[in-house]
Order: sequence, then C-alpha cells, then structure tokens
Amino acid sequence: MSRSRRLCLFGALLSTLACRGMPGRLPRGADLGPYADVDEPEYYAAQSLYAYMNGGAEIYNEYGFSQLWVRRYARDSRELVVELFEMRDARAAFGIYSYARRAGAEVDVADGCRGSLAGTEAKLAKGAYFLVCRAQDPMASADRLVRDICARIAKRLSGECGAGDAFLILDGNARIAGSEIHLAGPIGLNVRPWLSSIGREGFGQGWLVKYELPAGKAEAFLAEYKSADLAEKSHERLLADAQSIGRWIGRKGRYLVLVQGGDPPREQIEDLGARLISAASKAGAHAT
Amino acid sequence: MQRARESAAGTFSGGCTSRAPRCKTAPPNPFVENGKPLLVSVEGEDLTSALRAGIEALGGLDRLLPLGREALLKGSYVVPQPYPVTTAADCIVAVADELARAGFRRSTLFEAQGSRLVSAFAPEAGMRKVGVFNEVRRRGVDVIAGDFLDADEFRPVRNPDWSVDSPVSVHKKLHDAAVVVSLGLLKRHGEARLTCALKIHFGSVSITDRMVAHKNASQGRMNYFDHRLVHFADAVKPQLNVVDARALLARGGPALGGAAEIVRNVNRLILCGDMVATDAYCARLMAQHDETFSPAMIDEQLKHATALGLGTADLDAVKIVEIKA
Repeated sequence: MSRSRRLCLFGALLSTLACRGMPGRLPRGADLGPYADVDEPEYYAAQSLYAYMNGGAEIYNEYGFSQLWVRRYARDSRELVVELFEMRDARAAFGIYSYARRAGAEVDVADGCRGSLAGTEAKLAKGAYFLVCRAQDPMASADRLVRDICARIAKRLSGECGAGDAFLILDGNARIAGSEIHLAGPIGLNVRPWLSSIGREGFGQGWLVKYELPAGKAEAFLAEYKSADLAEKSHERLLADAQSIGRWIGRKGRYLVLVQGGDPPREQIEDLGARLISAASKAGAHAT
Repeated sequence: MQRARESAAGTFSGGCTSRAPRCKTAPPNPFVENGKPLLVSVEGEDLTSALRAGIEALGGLDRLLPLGREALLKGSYVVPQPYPVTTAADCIVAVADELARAGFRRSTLFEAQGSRLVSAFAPEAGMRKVGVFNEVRRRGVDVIAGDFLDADEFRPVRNPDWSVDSPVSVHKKLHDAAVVVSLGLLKRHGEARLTCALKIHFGSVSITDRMVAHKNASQGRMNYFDHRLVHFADAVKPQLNVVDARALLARGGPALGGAAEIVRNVNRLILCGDMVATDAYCARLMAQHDETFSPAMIDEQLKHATALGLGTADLDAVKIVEIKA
C-alpha cells in the first residue's frame, strides 16, 4: 500500500473518531445555569487524542485513556474550556489526577470532592472521569468561574471521589497527604530528574511520595517491574550509577525502592526504605 | 532486531527509503563572534523593545539577507491553548516587523498541525482557536497551515550519520525555505522533558514520523525518541531561534491540563543561531524555575545534536550576552 494511501486511511480513521457537535457527557451551557455555549462541542476517542493534543497525548494514553469531550462555555464575557477525560477505570482517573494535581492546592471543589485549584485551572477525579476546567486565557488572573463550573459538572458525574485503593501499597506512617503520585508507565519517570536513571525495561508502574520524618522530609519512589529479574537489572544499574550516591536503594521481588532526602539522617532514610519494601511486598503477595 | 524494528518504522514514515535524498545543508551560523556562536538573552517587559535590543546585540538581522529576502517563521500549535502553550501573535508580528526593517520582503508563519482530511481538524483550526490566524494576517504576516497527513506536502530526507537508519519526511516549505526562523517556547514536556529549539521541529515532519517516535518512547526506548527529535531538527536547520520566554510552562507540558504550571514574569527573549546552544541555555533557565527539572534530563538530546554538528551544548564555548531592555 502506498504511503499516501495509508495516510488517507489514517485521516479517514481520525475523521470518524474526532467529531464536532457531538454533545456527549458535557451538558449544554443553559443546563449548567448562567453559562452560554461557545463553538461546537468536540469528541475524541483513543485513536484520535493526538488530533486534539499532539505531543501531550502520550501521558493520558499511558494512564489508560478512553475518550475525551471538550466544550467551551462563556459567562460574564469570560470564556472557559472544559475537558472531560473518561479513563479506563476509577484507578486510572485518580492516577492521572495525582500526576496533574498541584501540591498544597487541593480544596473541596464539589460536595465532598477534593480537587486541585490553582491559577486559572481546576482539576478533579470522580469515578472513571478526570475533569479539567480552565479559563481560555491562561495568563488571566485567578478566576472563580473555573471552580464554579467544575463543581456544577462534577455533580453530574457518576462515581466516587478520592484515591480509593491507589496508594494502599504505600506505608501510611508519616506520609504527606496529597504528595502521592501514581506513575502508570515509563513516560511518568520524567517527573523528577532523580528518576531518570531508573531502568525503563519492564517497568510497570510506580508510586512517588513524600514523608515527614522526624528530622525532615524525604521523597521515596516505589517501582513495580514485570519480573524480579527486570527489577534486579534496574537495581544493579542504579547501584553502579554515580547519581545514586546518597540515596537508599533496595529491592525485593518485583519491587524496587529509592529514598532520598537531604535532611534526615541515614538511619531514618533506611528505616523508611525498609518499611516501603515490606509494605509493598505484603501488598504484592496479597494481590497474588 | 532493534535496527530492523526501527527500519520498519521508518519505511512507514518515509516511503521509498532508498531514494530519499540527504537532508538539506545550511550555511554557517551568521550570528557568531570570534568563532563562538552568539546567544543573546534579553530581560525586559516590553516585547518590541526587548526584541530590538536583542537583535542589535546579535549584530542585526541583515546578516540573514545574503540567504534570501523571504523568511518562514516556524510557530508551535500543538494544542489550541494560548501563549505560553503556543506561539503568541504579538511575538510573530514583532519578529516579522524586525525582519521587514532589515530588508526582508515577506515573512510567513508556518505550522503543520492538522489535516484537511479531517473536517473537525483543519490545519489552521488551532491557530484560529487561539486567535493567531486572523491577528497575524491582519498585521501583514502570511500564514501557511500545512497538512500533516498529505504525503505530497512532505519530502523524505535522510542523513547517513543519524543513529536511526530511516528517512524523515520534512515539510517541503521548511525544506525549501532559504531562511527559517524558529519561534520557540520554553516548556516542560512529559515525554521529551523539555521543549525549546530542537523539540519544536516535531511539528515540521509528517504525523507518521511523530507517531513512530511517540510509540518508541511509550515503550521505554527514550534514546530513540531523543535522537529522532534531533533528526527532525536536523531536517530543518533554522537560521535563527527566537525563544519567547516571557512566561514558562514548568513541571509538565507541553499543554495545560496535566501537571503544567505557568511561571509568569520571567520576561526573557533568547536569540541564537545555534539550536543546541539555545536548548542548553533554555535548560539552565528552566532549572532555575522548576525544581522538578535538571539540564541533565536532556543530555542525550544535546549530545546527539552536537555529534551531528548541529551546534554546541557547551555554554563555555558560546558567547552569551545577557542584557536588559
């Protein structure tokens, strides 16, 4: 098949998966109260997310993206953009939310549903949905309308708010609430410089989290590999890496743990690493 | 095995690989001083005066005139969100005005982010949504919106020195332009870690080339991705990079909605003829504003770009001029 024919087929596929005027799960402005519709609603399926955000789609796919509805609203001469991502399940929705939330910026957005509210953007996870509400002009000053519209839409979504069992694998003692990030695949490892040298081969998922130890804060990363051999390979590589100096590194089975923190003494870091390994191994054994 | 997989991917992206010509050569960087590439970083709140001061420190845009009198301005519209996610209209117009002042007859904004095959996703749709399309045309800048699915708009090229043995399909407008000015932004990127002067050229190649690179990254082959984005930039070889860092997108990117946070009041413009030096400087600047970033995160990209002769990542070998306007 010629390259141009392949591209035509690709285009035809995209055209069936990227639709305008499809109302989907985002209500009309009038159904939300004092909001007006701007432009036609948009819809993107898994294969067409690149058509909406070329270059930003990979991280959503890594978490288990299913479909996206985008709708623009106006109120008081201000324009708002709402993106409603439906993920594979509630765990995937909270996973991408944990990646996206801003530390220290979580508030009660809708009834009992905490979300991240900063600047001109509000985000929350509810059920299998990840909801983003944003002022069209990101350089505008903070806008109360993004919280208002997010609350109105969140109330219409089915499912529960909260992390569910996403972080049960982590030791809960002295964990800083809201610092937890679930990483669903290798692209997520770009979230911190000190995770760059972690082996990506066979990396399944990971959890990044901060702890308040008696002598200061430490950040820890728990990685789950597809096999114990691949975890060991990554472990050996980390031990040989000069950048690992000063970090606690441990492995048990498919799990690998790294802990770093400048202030706490070595024994506190080691104790945290051992607790994380132990909790993960128990949770892993339980899951098996 | 790895080579075979990459070759298969390249066949899909590049067509008849054996006939792909070598990617274009570019004249030497005209913005040098005593053999060192010049990089000008201007701090200022007024875009027009900061740009003019930067261009003067660079030695003037008339250094580009021997190459041609028409310039193609490469913008970035990866998602329909305004600056600092996408190239701002005022920056495009200001650069076009300065080129006209230097003697250029025409400046044209170029981006290939969409397709006429998809009614909901016309190539100019993103530029329209952020208000750039009409605004820059109203102010005298032409716009070409390439179709990233139309194979006739692209030219497969290759370079035997690339680490991936398959061609890249670069847009013909960029391939054929005598003068390309990249109008970059400074953003974190979930996959590439940073986007500035090199990564902007993901938008210069066919969608299949981009998808193959993304696919390799999502499977953990980051070296493939890092090298490929350098190859995309090699296929364009802009003469000048103007990075609009009045604001940055830190912690995440390349779009809002994920982990990205806007850092306002950075108020910097960076001008340089060397893409690699520009990225090295951008990385340093980003690290000053984003504790989750380190320049080491793009080492592999800069190392490969340097090896291909696209510039230098050693900022000690660059004449850096930092000024206020």
